[in-house]
Amino acid sequence: MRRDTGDIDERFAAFVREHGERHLRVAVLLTGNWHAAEDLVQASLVKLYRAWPRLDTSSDPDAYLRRIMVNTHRSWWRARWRRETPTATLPETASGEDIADRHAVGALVRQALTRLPRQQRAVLVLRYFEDLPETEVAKLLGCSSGSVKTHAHRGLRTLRELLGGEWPRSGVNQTPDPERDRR
Amino acid sequence: MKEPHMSDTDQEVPPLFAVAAGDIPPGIDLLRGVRTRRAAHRNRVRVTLSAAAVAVLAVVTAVTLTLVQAPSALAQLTSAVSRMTAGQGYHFSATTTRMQVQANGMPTTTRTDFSGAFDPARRVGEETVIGGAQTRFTGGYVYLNPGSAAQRKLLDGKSWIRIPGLPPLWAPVTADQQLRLGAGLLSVAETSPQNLFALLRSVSTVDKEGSVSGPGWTGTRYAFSVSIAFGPAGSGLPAVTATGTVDVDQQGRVRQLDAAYMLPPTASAQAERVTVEMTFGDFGALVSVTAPPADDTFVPGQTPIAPGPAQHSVSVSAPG
Repeated sequence: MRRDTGDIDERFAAFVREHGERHLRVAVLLTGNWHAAEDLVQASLVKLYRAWPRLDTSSDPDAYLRRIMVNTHRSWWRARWRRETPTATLPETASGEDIADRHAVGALVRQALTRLPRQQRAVLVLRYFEDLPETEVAKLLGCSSGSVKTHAHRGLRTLRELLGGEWPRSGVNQTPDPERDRR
Repeated sequence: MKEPHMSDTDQEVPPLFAVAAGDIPPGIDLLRGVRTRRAAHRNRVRVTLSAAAVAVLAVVTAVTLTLVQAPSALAQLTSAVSRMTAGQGYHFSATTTRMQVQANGMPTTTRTDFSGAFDPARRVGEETVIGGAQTRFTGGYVYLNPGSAAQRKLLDGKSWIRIPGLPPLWAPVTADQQLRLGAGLLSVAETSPQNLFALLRSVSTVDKEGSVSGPGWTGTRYAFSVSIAFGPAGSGLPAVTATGTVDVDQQGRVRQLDAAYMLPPTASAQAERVTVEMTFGDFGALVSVTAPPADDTFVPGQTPIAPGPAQHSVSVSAPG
């Protein structure tokens, strides 16, 4: 038993080392800040760890963890986020190319995402960061593909309004992402 | 794999999200929760109780729970804030980010890293902007050293300026006084931790988010929302809402404070969006702050100050 437990621990730790950072990045887009993102991923990994012995070799732990994170975030949101006090609108930016500070841009985008309704936020993150097809996003969120389309359309429109008239262009360089580039 | 119907506009979103998720801060430990759970499970397996002992424990627990009401999240946060504003000394490090749109429409973003120490009981403190200005709080005044030769010219060649008419640092003041103090040349006094703690005394909404931990400590995270009076009473200026989180350790001390707020424009300043991230530690530190030399301190509205006894030391010691 101890040897089995050790194997579970080693394989689980290896999975987290290899894939954890990716899920952390998803979490920060869902939650808006790194503290909450860390909490979300940690809580989700505890749930995944409980289920780990039951996962068979054909299962996809990534997909399983993603589902746990989405569901956990939804339950946290229902318990807490309705009490958020909206802040004033974000300042308009004259041009994305003028925003040289990637750190500030990142914070601005994360803050803008938190202004979206939870479902729109989740759709945008799963579609445009996780690059999941609409059908898979629909399955994760428990809605129809049509709803995913609608949420994406509305979310993008609101995000564009929040980030100013200038939609980012060459001023924002894509961060290399081997996982995405492999697809 | 992108679907055929994704427009050019949609294709600009992934890079944007990549930037937003790009700067992972150091110190994140994703396996902490799992390790904690494993340790707790091992401890539970080791504990063996007789049936009678278990029954007694159950009764005692039930009685205790009926007699002791867990304090509310608001009470717990208020208690922690009070402790920081009146208790032992501490060190802190912080980052503020201010985003502002200038009159010509160009946005500016200013990031400031600073650190310092405060002894709330003795009402002294100091802050130093990394590579820049320095601030000392002592004797009921705030002394600012802008840290640049160009700015020193504005101070009659002196290194320091003593701000006149500043409300006591240790009492709540309006958002405009606190949050815009030192705009431009001067220090980061607007986001001094003592000022922020004073603001939190009037917090209106607090939610307990859950467990949190850091290097050598565990505790609880609270999310807060506080409405700040912007400008003097009767000014008609709108209130500002600040939201954020406070991490409180098991000894009731604030370990981390993150906040964000939007300041509307006024006649003298543009709208600003401010974020603050502060980390606290070294509780019990001895903080000793002396006023800068009088002959090197500019006091607005006064004639040149006669030389006084030299007072140069600022010592900040770790607790023994």
